[in-house]
Amino acid sequence: MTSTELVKESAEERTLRFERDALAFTDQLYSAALRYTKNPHDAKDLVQDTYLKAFTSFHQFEPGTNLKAWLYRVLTTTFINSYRKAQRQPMISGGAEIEDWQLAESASHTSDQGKSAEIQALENMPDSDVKRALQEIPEEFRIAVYLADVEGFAYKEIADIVGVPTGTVMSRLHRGRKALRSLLADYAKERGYGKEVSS
Amino acid sequence: MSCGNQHETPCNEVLNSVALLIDGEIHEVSQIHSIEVHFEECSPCREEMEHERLMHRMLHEMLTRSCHESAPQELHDQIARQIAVLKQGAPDFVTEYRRTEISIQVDEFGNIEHHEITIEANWIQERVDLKSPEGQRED
Repeated sequence: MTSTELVKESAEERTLRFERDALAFTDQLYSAALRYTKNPHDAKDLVQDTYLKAFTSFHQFEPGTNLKAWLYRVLTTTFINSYRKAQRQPMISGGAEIEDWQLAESASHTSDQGKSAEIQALENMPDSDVKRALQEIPEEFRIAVYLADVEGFAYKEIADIVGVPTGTVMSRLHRGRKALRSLLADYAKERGYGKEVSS
Repeated sequence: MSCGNQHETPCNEVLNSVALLIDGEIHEVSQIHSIEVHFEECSPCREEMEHERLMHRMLHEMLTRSCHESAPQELHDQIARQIAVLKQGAPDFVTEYRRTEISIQVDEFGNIEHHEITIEANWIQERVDLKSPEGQRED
């Protein structure tokens, strides 16, 4: 049995829905845009562009599905397609990404000393250092880490947002987190906290 | 490095899965089970897992805290202005939802006691407002 239902949504109604649902993410998208672009000026432009694109294609968004992921996809693709070009930041990897990250070295047990040093390094880490570390890791890694560890998206959602296979997301996330942790450990050493606490 | 003991699932295999496990990306119950069995018999791996879990949580908290920003009022205003302009020429849309339900019920011993198939499809169409001039339409 087939039933057909026609639902009309006027431009006015759609605008109200957009203002109510989509604009609630302005702070969140701006926070992500700041990490993506690394400066407030570009971040503002990026968020504005994102909302412009999102508004004009909002009728294609299927109500009941994940609006946050949809907006992040618009934000991320807008960034990748225009801002990165403008900032002249080439992709670090020329397409040849190591997909089987599982071959990586990590498969060993860490010493207790290594563990506690790592934890101490993270304790009391100032926000400015966390931001600095994020800025220093390559862009694809930064985006993957941001989407997973700040926004809590699943691998599959990240793959969809960024437009790459899930295996690539895993690889970028793995390498990004590793790079981030190693940078944070370095900063801790520079500042003299972590490592040995005795003065 | 390995703990030196023999396990059904080798240490490096388990350690390679730790990140996936923490991220909740292992969906196969049997795989989760064999990792758990391994943790029960191998304390170095269990400690590694606990350490990774703690690191993951700390990183998450740290990142969430330091990346939390408020958009400047100026940006909110710009977006609001932009939408006010855009909605002027925006078309109305009609979405057609079509739902086809197929129900199958086969007898005793002919198997398939009850089965329902629902096919949903929708089409979005721009509704041409009779009052609006042709030129304003978009594809």
